[in-house]
Order: sequence, then C-alpha cells, then structure tokens
Amino acid sequence: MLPTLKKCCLAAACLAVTQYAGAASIVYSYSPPVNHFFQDKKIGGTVAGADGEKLPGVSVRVKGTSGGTLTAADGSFSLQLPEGKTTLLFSYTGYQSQEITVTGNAPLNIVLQLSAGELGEVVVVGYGQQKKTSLTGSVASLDQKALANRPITNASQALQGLPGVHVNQTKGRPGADGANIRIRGVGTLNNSNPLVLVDGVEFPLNDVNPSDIESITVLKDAASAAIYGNRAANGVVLVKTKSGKAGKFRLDYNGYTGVQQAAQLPDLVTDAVTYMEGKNRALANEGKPAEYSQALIDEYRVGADPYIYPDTDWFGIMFRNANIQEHNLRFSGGNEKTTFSVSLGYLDQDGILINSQAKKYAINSNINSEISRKLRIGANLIGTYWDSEESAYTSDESNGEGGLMGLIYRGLPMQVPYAQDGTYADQWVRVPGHNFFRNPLALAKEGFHQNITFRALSSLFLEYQLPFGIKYKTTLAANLFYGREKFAYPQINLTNPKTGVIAPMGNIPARGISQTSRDGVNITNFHTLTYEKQLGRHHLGGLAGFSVERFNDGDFTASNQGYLGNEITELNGGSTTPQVSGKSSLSKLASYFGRVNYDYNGKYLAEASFRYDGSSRFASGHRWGFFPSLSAGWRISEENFLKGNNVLSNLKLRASWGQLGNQNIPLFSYVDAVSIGRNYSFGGTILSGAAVSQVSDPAVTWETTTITNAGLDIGLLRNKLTLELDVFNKVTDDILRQVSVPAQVGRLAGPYRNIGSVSNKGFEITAAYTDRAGELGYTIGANLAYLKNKVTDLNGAIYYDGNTITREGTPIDAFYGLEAIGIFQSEDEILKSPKQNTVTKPGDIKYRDTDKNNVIDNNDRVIIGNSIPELTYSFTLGATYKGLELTAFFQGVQNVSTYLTGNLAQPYKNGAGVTPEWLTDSWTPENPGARLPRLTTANGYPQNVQTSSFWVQDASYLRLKNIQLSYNLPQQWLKAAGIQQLKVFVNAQNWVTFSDFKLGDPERNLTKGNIIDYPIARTATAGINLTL
Amino acid sequence: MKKQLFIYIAAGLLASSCGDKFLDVDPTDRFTNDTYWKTREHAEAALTATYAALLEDGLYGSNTPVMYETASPNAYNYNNSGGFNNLAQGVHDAANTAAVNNTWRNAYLGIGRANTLLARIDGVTMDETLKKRFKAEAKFLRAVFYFPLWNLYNGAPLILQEPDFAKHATLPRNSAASLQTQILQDLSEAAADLPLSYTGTDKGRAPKAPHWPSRPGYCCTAADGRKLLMPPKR
Repeated sequence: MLPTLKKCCLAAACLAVTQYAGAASIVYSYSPPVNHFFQDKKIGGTVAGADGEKLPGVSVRVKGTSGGTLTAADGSFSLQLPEGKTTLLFSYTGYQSQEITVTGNAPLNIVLQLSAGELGEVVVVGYGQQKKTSLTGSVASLDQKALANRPITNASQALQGLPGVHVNQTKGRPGADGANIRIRGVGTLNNSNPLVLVDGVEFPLNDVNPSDIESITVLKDAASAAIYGNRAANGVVLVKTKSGKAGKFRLDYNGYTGVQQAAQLPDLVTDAVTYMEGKNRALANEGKPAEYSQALIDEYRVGADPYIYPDTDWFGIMFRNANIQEHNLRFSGGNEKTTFSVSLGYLDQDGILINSQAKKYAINSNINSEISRKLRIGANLIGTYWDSEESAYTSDESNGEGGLMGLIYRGLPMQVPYAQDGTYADQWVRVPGHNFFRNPLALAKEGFHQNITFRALSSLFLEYQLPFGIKYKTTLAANLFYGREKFAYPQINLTNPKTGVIAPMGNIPARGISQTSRDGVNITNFHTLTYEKQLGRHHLGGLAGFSVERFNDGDFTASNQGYLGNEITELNGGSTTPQVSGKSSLSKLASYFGRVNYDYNGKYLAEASFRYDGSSRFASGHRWGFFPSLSAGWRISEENFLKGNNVLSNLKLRASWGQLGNQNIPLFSYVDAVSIGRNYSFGGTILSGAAVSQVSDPAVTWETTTITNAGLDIGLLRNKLTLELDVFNKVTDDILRQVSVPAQVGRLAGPYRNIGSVSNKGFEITAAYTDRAGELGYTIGANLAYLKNKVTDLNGAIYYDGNTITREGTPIDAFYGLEAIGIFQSEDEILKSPKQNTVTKPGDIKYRDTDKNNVIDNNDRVIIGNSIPELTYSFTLGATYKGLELTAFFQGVQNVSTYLTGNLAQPYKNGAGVTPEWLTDSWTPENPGARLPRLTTANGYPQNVQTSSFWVQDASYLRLKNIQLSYNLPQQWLKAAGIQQLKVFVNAQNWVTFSDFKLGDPERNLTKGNIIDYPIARTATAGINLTL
Repeated sequence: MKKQLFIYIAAGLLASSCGDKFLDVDPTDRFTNDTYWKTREHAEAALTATYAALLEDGLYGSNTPVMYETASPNAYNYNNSGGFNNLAQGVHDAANTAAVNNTWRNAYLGIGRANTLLARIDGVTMDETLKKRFKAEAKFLRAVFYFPLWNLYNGAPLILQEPDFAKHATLPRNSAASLQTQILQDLSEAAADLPLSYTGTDKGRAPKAPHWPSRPGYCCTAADGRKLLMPPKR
C-alpha cells in the first residue's frame, strides 16, 4: 500500500496547467450576467466585422466589473451603465478585442478587426488548449472552415493536407473507406496508426460525423504528445466536436447530393479473340501447346450470338455511377450560463460496385452549464449507427482472390453475366487456372453481407474551482460498441449459354447463414488539477492528473447450413451443421501525467511534461514506463528591437525533446499459449488436439520513440505571409516485432520482442500568403514534408517478408529483389552474360550479377524500391470575390514505389486477364525495342516474374483532391425571409490525377502485391448551407 | 458542499487503482504452457495434435504426395502450384519454391509437438500403461516426421528436446546418418510399447508394425539412392 500511496501523492503534488488567457476567446466569464447593478444610463449599438457583417454573441463587458452582455443575432446590444466615464471591452473569437471609452449615451457602432493571421488562434492540446502563440511543440490543426462542404464520408479523409501527415485513402468501400494516417513516417514495424481522441476520449475516427467536427489537431512532436505516453508514439489526433455559443438560438442545415464514379481503373483487354490469341502466343513462347484451338477462335470470330460469343468488359458491368447524399441539421445556442448544441446527421451512399451501399445516422450533443460561480458541468454524447450492405462474397480486397472484387479483376471477355433466358450464365470456354466461373454479377445480386455497427461515446465532466486558483476537473466517459454482422451465402445455379446445361456455381461457400455479434465497453476516467498564475511578467501554469482506462471486448459467432432457399436469411431457418465460437477480452491502462509551463512576458516560453504509464499488455515488472518531454520557445518578434516592425511581424523559435511509447501488440503476448483445434480423426471420431503455437518473450515491453524537433515560425508583412519550418529526428528504440523463428524450433510462430531501432529524419515547410486586391481576396498555401526512414539497429538480424526486407541501413519494408538491366536481344548475348537460367531465351529479362560470381541467384538481390514516400506535399488555393468563393486543394507524394504481383498486374496470371500493352509492347524479334520482355504467362514461366526491379512501379502522384465553388447569397435578399445565411455550392472530389501509375489508383496501399482495390470515388456534389 | 466535494475527490484519487494490481489480467480462453499438462485429457490432446501435424501441407495434407508426383514426368502441374514446376525445371530454391519450405517446416511442427509431449508427460498424473503407450506413439510419430528430412534433405538439425528459441534457433544440420540412427532408435523403442492393433475409436493410431522385417532389410530409398536399413523385428 505504501508505494501505491506514494504514486498518488506524486501525481497530486505536481499540479496543473493550461488554461489559456487572452481576450480573443473568453466565453464563460459573465457572472453575474445581469445588468441590474447599473441603473444610471442606457447605451446601445451594434457590432460588426470589417466586412460589415453583423456579429452575434460578441462579449460586451464593462471594464473593471463583472457586468456585461452579449450581442444579439443582428449584432445589437444594450446595457445599463453608471453615469460618467466607463470603458467597454468588446471581444469575440477570432477578432481583435477593442476597448471603447463611453462618456455620453449615443449609440455605438463598433467594427471589430480580424485577428492578425493566426495569432489569436487557440488550439486544442493534450488535456487543455493553448494560444497558438505560446506553443513550443509542433502541432498542425485545421478547423471546420477547411472541411466545410467537402463530401467526406469518413473523418480520416479530413486530415489530408496537414503538413507532416500522410493520409492515404486506399479504398472507396462504403462504410469502410477510412484512410490510413501516418504522422511523420513509419516509426514502428507494428500498427502505425495514431491515437485518436475525440473530446479527450479514445474513439475511432470512422464514427465521428465529419460535419460535427469543430477542429482537428495533430500532435506531431514528443513535447506535445508525451502527455499521452505509451500510445502516442505514432502521433496523436485530437478531435473537438462542435458546441453551442452563447447568443441567439440558431439552426443550421447543410446538405448535398451528388454522384460518384471510380476514380481510376486499370485498362484491360476486353476483346475475346485478342485475349485468346495472346494467351496462345504466351504459351507458344513457353514452348507449350495452344490453349484455344484455331477452330474455336474461328468460330468465335464469326459467331453472332452475344451471349455465346461476348466481348465482356466486367468493369463496365460491375461498376456504376452511384448516388450519394448527406444531410446535417444542428440546433445550437445558449445564454451566459448554459450553451448547447444538438445535431443529427444522415449519409446515404451507394457504392460504385453494384448492390453495395452504406447508410449512416449520427447524433451529437454538447451541453455545458455553469451551475455556480465555481462549478461547471457538461455532457457530450456522440452516437453513430452504420448500416452497410454488399455481396456475401464481400467486396473487401483483403479477401484477395476470394472476394467479389478479386473475381471482377479476373473476369474474362469470354464470360458473360446472363444467359439468353435471363438466368445467370456459366462459362463455356474452359480457361485453365480459372476452372470455376464464379459469376460476379450473380454473387453481387444474390445473398448479402450486412454489417451494422453502433457506437456511442457518452462523457460527463465536472469542473470545480478550488482555493488558491486551482481548478479540478474530472471526466468519466463510456465508449460503447455494439455490432451485428451477417453473411447470407446463397446457392446459385448457372446456365451454360451454349449447351443450356444448368449447374450450381462451384468453389463458393455452401448455402448458409453466419452471424456475428460484437460488443465492447471502454471506460475512461481521468482527473486533473490545473493551476495558473501571473506574477508580474512571470506566467506559470501547471497540470497534474491521472487516468484509468479499461477495455472490454467480446464477440460471438454462429453459423448454420441446410437452408431450403436463398430467401431464408435467419440462423433459425437452417437445419444442419450449426457452429458457434466466441470470446471476450480485457485490457487496462493506468497513467499519471503532469505538465508545467512558464513564460516570461510572453517572450520566453518553456514547458515540461511527463506521463507514467502502466499497461496490462506486459508482464508484471515490465509494465510501467516513464515518458518525459521538454520544450522551449523564444518569440523574437516580441523583443524591443523587433517590436512594431512592419515587415517582420512574427518570429518565433521553438525546440523540443521528448519520449513516447507504443504498446500495440496482441494481448497476452508475454505467455506461451496453448492453441486448440489441432484435431485428428481416430476410428471415424474427431478428437480435439492442443499444442503450443507461439513462443513468447516474457520480457517484452513497449517501444520508446524519442523525437527531437526544432521549428521556426515567421510572419511577414503583418502576417500576410506566414512560414513555418520544422526539422525533426524521430528515433524509435526497442521496436516491437513478431520475429520469425527458424522452422526447426517446432515451427512455432515467433515471439513479440523488442528488436531494434528505426529513425525518421525530415523536415516540414508550410507557407501561406493571404492578401486582398480590391474586392478580390486570395490565399495561397503550400506545404512540403521530406522524410528519410532508416532502420538503424536490428542486432544484425534481417527480416524478410515476401518481396520486402527490413535490415540495418535501409528503410523499413524496402522492396528487395534482382536488378533488371534490360532485355536479352540474342542467344549470343545470353552466352556472354552471367548464367541466368538454363531456360533463358532472347526477350527475357537480364538480371545484374551483383556478387560477380557469374551466376544469377538469390545472393544477387538488392534493394529495388521504397514503400514509404520521401516527399509528401499539398497546396491550397483560395479566392473570394463578393459572395463568391473558390477553393482548391491538391495533394501529392513523390519518390515512392510499389510492387505488384497479382492477377492482371502480371499477364495471364492464374487464368486472369491481361493489360493491352503486353500484347502490343512486349519483345519479339520484330520488335526488339519493346519496353516489356517477351510475352509469357506469369505462372508458366517463372524466369521473368522473379522479384526484380522490372516489376517495381513508381507510385508518385499529384491529385486535385478537392475543388469547390460557393456563393453566399446577399444579406439584403435573405433578411426578408428571416434567413441569416444561405450558401450554395458545387464541389468535386478526386477529380484530376497526374501519375505514371496506370494499373488502378496510385493512392494505394503501397506494400500490397495485388491491384485488387475497391476503387476510390471521384465525386461531384452540389448542396446548400442554411442558417436561421 | 465544498467539504464533501473534497472528500469525494480524495476518495476518488485513492480508490482509482494506483497500483500494479489493477493491471493484472489473465487469459480466460486458453491454457498457457504452465497451466497445461495436468490431466490425461491434456496429454491425449497434445498427442492428437502431434498426429494432426501429419495433415499439414508438405507432409500428407494438401494433396502433397500427388503434388510431389508433378515434379516428375508422371504428372503436370499447370499452374506451378507449390512451385513443383521449379523442382521439375531445376530452378528451385528456398525463396521461390513453397514446397521446399513446406515439408521442412511441417516436419519440424510435428517433431516439436512430439518433443513437447515427451518432455512434459512425466509430470501428468494418469494411468502409467497408457502414458507408456502415448510416449511410444509420440516416438513413432517423431520418426515419421524425421523421415522426409532424411529422405529429401539429406540431413537436418536433430532436435529431441522441447522447442526452445534460444537453444535451437541456430543449430546446424546433422548428418543424414545421425538422423537415420535416431529414426531407427525411435521406431524400435516405440515398437516395444505399442499394441499390435487397435479397436473402436483408437483405430488409426500407430501400431507395432505387423510387417516389420524379421531380418535386417531395406525399407526405403532416398532420392539420391541412399537406403534406410531396418533392424530386425524385436
């Protein structure tokens, strides 16, 4: 008990931080709000922005007292003031505060100026918020303005364009089109996803309605993220949802409708005769007999019946222009004591793939109330319900060959969806390697896979002002999850269009139902004490706290077979082979954290933080980790020699150092578990068998990431031009990885161990220029991030994984293979070259003999590509003219490659299709200058499909991610109808892409070997924003 | 009100699990190697799992015996499944041909399970006769799993202890002759404790070989012509 107490006392002793000071954003400070103290004179007026727009909810305070009011919806206010000279203070978020001395009682017309650049901005940081000017770490943030009206179906897509954040949307599957987020490269060999906290609590981004997001902040360096300790190594994403503002009740509606189509699909041969002749040619090159007889090809050529002699384009049949619509409604408002915001959202997205769709229903409510001068409470509720449906043969490309998407990508021109009588068709031309025709259209239309998830985050907080300026806050949150997933596998009969023979589709799961229920409860409770004190020019803030988290997940699956028809879709409707499985798991985290910050006169800034974290994922004795950070800043522009300088309006130097952790390994990785299901049949009876299947390392503990960061913020010409530079070195030590063990150790899966170190070095540059020329306002912004990933220490070990290698001195998961140096032009050249293979012929790929032993073998392999982008960049362009606004957002990656081996990526692989270039641009004696080696099938001739640089493709791209044109209807038209704001807009997402990568979308999972992807959508939408 | 609140806060700070104990969680869906090996059921399931290794790819599962035929002129493998065409063409190595790895890997899967049983079963409380038979079955299976390593690879690391990452990961190959010695020793030790045949739901277990030669004789020939000499029946 003694050590326990000590820990608690430690936590309580180092107190607490960060409230921000600053007039620009005070909301809760009008108590008592009533103005009956002043009976003497009445004064009124209006407050407007520089553009003339009336500002509602502006705080009007009587200086030196606590009396005041807020402006109404039309910007007007009225106050009782004492006789004589009084000073009024006007303040409003995002605007410079203004003091007015009132002597008479004439109406006041106040014009507030926008805060210069970002200086007034407040950003969300760990367990609080901070003025951007006093930040010492590296954070990137965006607000709802940047997201407004983009047809974002998943909140993760919103992060695109933040410097140092690589957001890669790899698929467009409705309800599951989340993007991968990588913050400053890949620092781990495990899960590299950042920690996502919504209103301070861990919550998946997929379940946040993008239109409910007020701001997103990404904590990139250790100084900002260390307060989140052992889960922060991949960076932290903080999402704040919208809350109400004091002032008039307000109703917002925004909605759009639009259409989506596949952004980029591979080109393939859809002419049946061309396909068959090409295959015969490939086989002839391998010295094998033709697969399609001349008689068959001739018959096909003259055949007229389109059901028997089709030239089918399966992409054309299976993909469509799909509708999308979204509607969001928000009620918000409040008075000086209580504010609220309640919203409802609805998304209805049809998939690009036929018979796939998702619907989302979302609610979000935020209530904050000041119960007394010392006590404030609040509640926040987020609820998201997803219902997505698609084929039972799911379209998820991770199913590879098995999934519907895989079948579409291997569809052949000789196959046809329907037979003459409208029934589903079988194939009649037999294709080796493709013996069973699993008709994709039939699989898309019969049976279904339905995935319903419901996730709710409810959190309550209580804030109490203790003596000595200490503020106590506690948050209790429950993140609840419930899901039901159901597969209804159909039985499908196929009709042979030539012979009329009907047979059931082969090689698919037996008709049956499989249903899974999932549930999860994640309880978070944290307590913080914060303190803030201004002593002359010294400003001191502190925060101390602790949190406990408990994750409890479970699932239950049942399946049944023996159904008498596809239309029966309940578990109870079947009669044979019922099966069940299920499990539940528990994990816990306990943490203590603290932060101290100090500044002198707003000029010299310093901050230190720590987190002490314990996790149940590790064995006792290896559980607790300490994650400290230090940072400092110098606002040079506040020095006297620069103050008032019109050219250099902001100059700040920042430096930080800190450590973070990563605990992301499976539960119980520290014990040898005995697995069951190793069964064997004796005398016709199955006996259950059990064996250890994995060795463990009981000493396994978390990874530690150390980030050093230096940054410079520059504002020029009154912050019209802003520049931000950051240089960082992110070193991850004790990397966790499941190591592979030589098979001779019982062929056991290897243990998770702490194996080595990786460094990510790089820099980020952000520049923005904002100006106005008459009525035309414009802004240009750009950012660029450069990153060099390198494995620095693996204890000499080398980890191979298919065609990638991880070893010291090279990037993680670099592509590894032979180096292709051209195409053999003659037998003579083959004889004069190092021995490639006994079967090598002219037209084959020539490999480099890197070890100079005159034989090409595995020892000649070298690094041939890099799957982590070196350069990521984006730029935004914006222009406003009167009510018109145009914005465009581009994103790109450079110096990155991908390696493709799957169906269609290599010619005639597994009886799949072929891209046209293989038939026109492959080597023949008549075409010796061809780009491609001689045509062979991928399976039949291994020599040319060995892992080599020939197959590495450049995956760089530049994409116009979003372009939007909007028009704000003039106020004078709207006033009559009682409308505050009405904006109409048109928007295009993923509209133009520049890339050399043509085999599908270049925005892809770069280590994936196949090209099977649910295509990303190119979307055009139109909609309105309405405020009453 | 203020006093009460303080008390609540203090209570909360103390109650909320400041200790390590809060973080103790045990798996409830599986045994660990230390909680296993207590009953006859455990030993029997471990033995069953050793038999189950026979069904793995590269041994007798996934049509392996037929697939090996496709490396010969007797059969053709049109899609190079398992890389057997590479074997036929003579361009195989461990990186490009799955078959080379599968047989090796899964032989050691079975060997590891047999070794674990032999190492742990003495601590199990159960009928001693049955325990002897279980051990004999495990030895028989170990010989079966070492056979392809002798036959196809001409020597491999000879491991007879429970799998241990630190001790076994870097062991070099032993000679084919030492594998042969071990195979024969296991077979003859197994024969001593195995019944001639089984009935009912024990059918399919390893029996004392009924066709064991009564004089020394060759049982099998390896790919390179080596022969496995069987000792006489005991």
